[in-house]
Amino acid sequence: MSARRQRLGAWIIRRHPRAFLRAYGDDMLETFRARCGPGARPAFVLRELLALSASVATEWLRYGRLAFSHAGREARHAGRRLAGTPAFTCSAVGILALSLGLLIGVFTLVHRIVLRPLPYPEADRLVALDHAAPGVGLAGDVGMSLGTYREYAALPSVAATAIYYVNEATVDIDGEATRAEFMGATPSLSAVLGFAPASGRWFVEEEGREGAARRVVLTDAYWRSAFGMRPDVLGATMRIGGEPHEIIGVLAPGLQFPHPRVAFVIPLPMPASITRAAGFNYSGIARLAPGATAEGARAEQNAVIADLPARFPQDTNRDLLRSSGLTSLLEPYQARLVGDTAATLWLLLLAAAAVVCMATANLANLFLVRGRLRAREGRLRRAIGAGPWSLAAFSLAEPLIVALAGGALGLALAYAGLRVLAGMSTVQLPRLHEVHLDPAVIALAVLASLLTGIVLGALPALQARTPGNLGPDAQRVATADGRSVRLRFALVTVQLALAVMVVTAAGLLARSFANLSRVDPGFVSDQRLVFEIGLPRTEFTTRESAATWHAQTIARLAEQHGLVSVAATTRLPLDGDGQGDPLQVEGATQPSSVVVRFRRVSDDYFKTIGIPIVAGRGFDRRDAGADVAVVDHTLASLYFPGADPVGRRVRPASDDDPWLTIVGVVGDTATFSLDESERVGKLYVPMQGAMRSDVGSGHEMAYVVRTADSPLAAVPAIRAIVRERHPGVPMARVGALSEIVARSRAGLVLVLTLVGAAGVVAVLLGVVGVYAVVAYGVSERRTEMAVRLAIGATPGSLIAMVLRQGAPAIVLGVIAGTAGAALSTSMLRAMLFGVDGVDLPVAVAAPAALLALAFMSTWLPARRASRTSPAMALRG
Amino acid sequence: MTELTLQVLLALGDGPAHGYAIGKDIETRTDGRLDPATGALYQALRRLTDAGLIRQVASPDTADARRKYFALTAQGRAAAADELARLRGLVDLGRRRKLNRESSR
Repeated sequence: MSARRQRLGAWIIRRHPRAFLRAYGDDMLETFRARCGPGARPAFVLRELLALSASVATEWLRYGRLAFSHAGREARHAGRRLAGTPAFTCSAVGILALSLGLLIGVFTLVHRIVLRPLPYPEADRLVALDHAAPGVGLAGDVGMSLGTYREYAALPSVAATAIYYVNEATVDIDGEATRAEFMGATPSLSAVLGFAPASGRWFVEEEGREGAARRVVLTDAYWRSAFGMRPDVLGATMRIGGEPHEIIGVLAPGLQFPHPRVAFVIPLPMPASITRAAGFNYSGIARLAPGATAEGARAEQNAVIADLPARFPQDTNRDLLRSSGLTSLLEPYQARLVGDTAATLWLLLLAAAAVVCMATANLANLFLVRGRLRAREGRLRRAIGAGPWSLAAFSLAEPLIVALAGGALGLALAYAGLRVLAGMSTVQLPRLHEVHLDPAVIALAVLASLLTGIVLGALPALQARTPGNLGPDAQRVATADGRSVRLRFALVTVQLALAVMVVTAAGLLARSFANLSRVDPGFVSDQRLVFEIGLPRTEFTTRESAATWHAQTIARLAEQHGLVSVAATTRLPLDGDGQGDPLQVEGATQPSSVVVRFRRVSDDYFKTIGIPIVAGRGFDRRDAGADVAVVDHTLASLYFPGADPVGRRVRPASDDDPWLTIVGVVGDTATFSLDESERVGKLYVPMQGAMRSDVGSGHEMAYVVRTADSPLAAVPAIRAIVRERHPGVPMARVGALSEIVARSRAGLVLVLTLVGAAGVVAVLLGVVGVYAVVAYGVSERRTEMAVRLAIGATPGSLIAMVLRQGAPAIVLGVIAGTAGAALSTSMLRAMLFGVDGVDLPVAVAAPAALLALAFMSTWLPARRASRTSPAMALRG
Repeated sequence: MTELTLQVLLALGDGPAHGYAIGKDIETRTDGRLDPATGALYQALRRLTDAGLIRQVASPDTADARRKYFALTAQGRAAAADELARLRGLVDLGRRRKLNRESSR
């Protein structure tokens, strides 16, 4: 017992700070041993141990106060020194603010979009439901049907399943008509996502059946914007598509599924009996059952798919179902949502990190120079007994202040940049509405700033450890210190290597953008205004009535001065695929398996939007009520390779509607984006042609108006005409068609802008870094050069000497950067367009340009030094 | 000045001593009333050293090398004298006001 208490006391005593132990430790231990010998009572020993512990705490608190006070003093001195060199301080803080701001901004995107779980309980258990149908040329995005939903919901691997769709409707609130985006979803969605409305209630199962009373749940944003946060909104009525719906709930502010533009939710009506497996018109989401895996769920679904023809014996598409090769594409919902964006964001983060490394290397060189100027003070401090922590504080104070100031400013820049990004309508990033600064981002900002400051201060601190002259002429040297020079040029190598990599990436993206800009979208977007009009089905109960209204509206608009041509379509180019099916060709033994998409268009559509007619003709008045079609070049090549399709007859494979006679062939148009690898074939039918079960009803039509002047200037007149035609029908998604084209390039533009900015910063930092290092090195060797000139050296030989000194670092940096760029090009692959393999022009131009700039930055100070007057240089 | 501080100065009045001896002297003179724990004692020694009232001195040749010896500085002597004068003044005041033990019997 006595030995144990002695050991414990000794252990506590050794916990004192080192300085205290040196002064009192041994004596304290002997005193404790003497007082707490074998005869000491336990209570007495306990009092002694507690007093020792209190002494330890007191000493450490005192040590902390002293260290804090010392650090504060160093910080004040460093602040005064930095204030005395405003040019250096402002440029250093500015460089770090820009580079750290870029890093913080991009990290925020990565953290909030890719890394952070979705805001639902156990979000990792959510899976997206989808299918591929390779047999009909669909690698994915087939969607879900009512039949597959019914079958999958019964599987043991899922705890809950839901399907939903998003559409637009005309909404009438208190006599005010607007268009709004809404979601139709099965009531099971709340079980899948694990939410409950903030007020009121969600739909019950019965309300999700055909014929049930019409209910609606509002999103929080719509309740605020359309209802002014009315407290009595529950029980109120709003007309959706002309039908009255009772408002039964308001969702919580954080719930923005599947995206923030959805204004309200209505139940997806399920029929009493489902006889079809097909009808893949919905998106699906499910929650895995406890213990189930995505692979297991996928296997179960594929087993169901194989059995679909037996489960739906009345489905007339059973043969097509078998030949389509339908397979489950179930995957984690977050991965599906984020998609390719993750790779893009990680790349941007790497580029930002490279810029921060370059900025740090650049500033490290500058701090090394500053450190050399203060080296004598450091050696003095060490000589009079300053400890390692004190010397570290001396070396680190200035860099830490600069780094923390740069980090704080960078945080502000990142905040501003993210606000701008969120406001840009052309940027289509998933979960963008969830992007904002949070504690994790602020922690990264602080950590990055501290790390940068430590790195900036570490090299001067190491430099200060070398012994040297303490005399008054300690700063005055005839030649440079070799180790310091090697260190500075090593930093130049690192900067140039990183610069080459970032500039190469920017060059490849610029080539991709140039290639994308040259892609012909298949239509003319200049001087074209587009907007959508949806007619209420309660008022326009037949498709013919809707088509007639649209035709009359087109005719009325065409009379307006300033409008050259007016037309309408069920779906614009670059707006997605829409309805589609494989086609039967009259006379062919079996239908082809390639899916083509359907469009219903007005007479002047091709002329108005600038789609060229390649063969035959477009639609005109004679086609009213007729079974005719126009196909595009892709469809003609797929179904009639090498032959003229005009005059041939086709119809969608899954129905028995009359055959359509092809009267013309038009040029292809982009369906999803300008960089799609294959164009999707399209079949056009006249807006007032025969009504069919396959091609859309035409209640919602997208208008295209060719204007004589600026498209947006025509909007007020067009609105007036539409209102005159029907006061309760609003125009939606009004904008210039050129904006839609621009949006298609927006993703690449964003990446190119950020990487391009990083490239510009990289070049500036690299060039400035080389110049600064060489210029300082030349100033260090002024006396040496003066002596050389005095004894007969030519200015040219001095220039050559300086160039020779810098050449190895520059060449090595460019070579390393070129190799690094070649290795990392594969990471860019997904973002490039029209750039395959090694792009020689960029791979050569980027390193060559940096090599030339770096040698220019070396030559300039060398040339200045070669003109030094020997006498003035020797006088100092 | 705390009592412990004054007692440490008094213990060193006769000459240098190490920590244990100082503590033992205080305990003996106060008949066990004041028996500073090791931690408290060395805190007092550190404060008095920082204030310049005592200093560490070389140990006698025969002493255990682990022991650290402390001695009063001139400033420490003066501080102790001032404190004792103050206390004497208080005692005199108490006597005049008949608050001391002899007067109150």
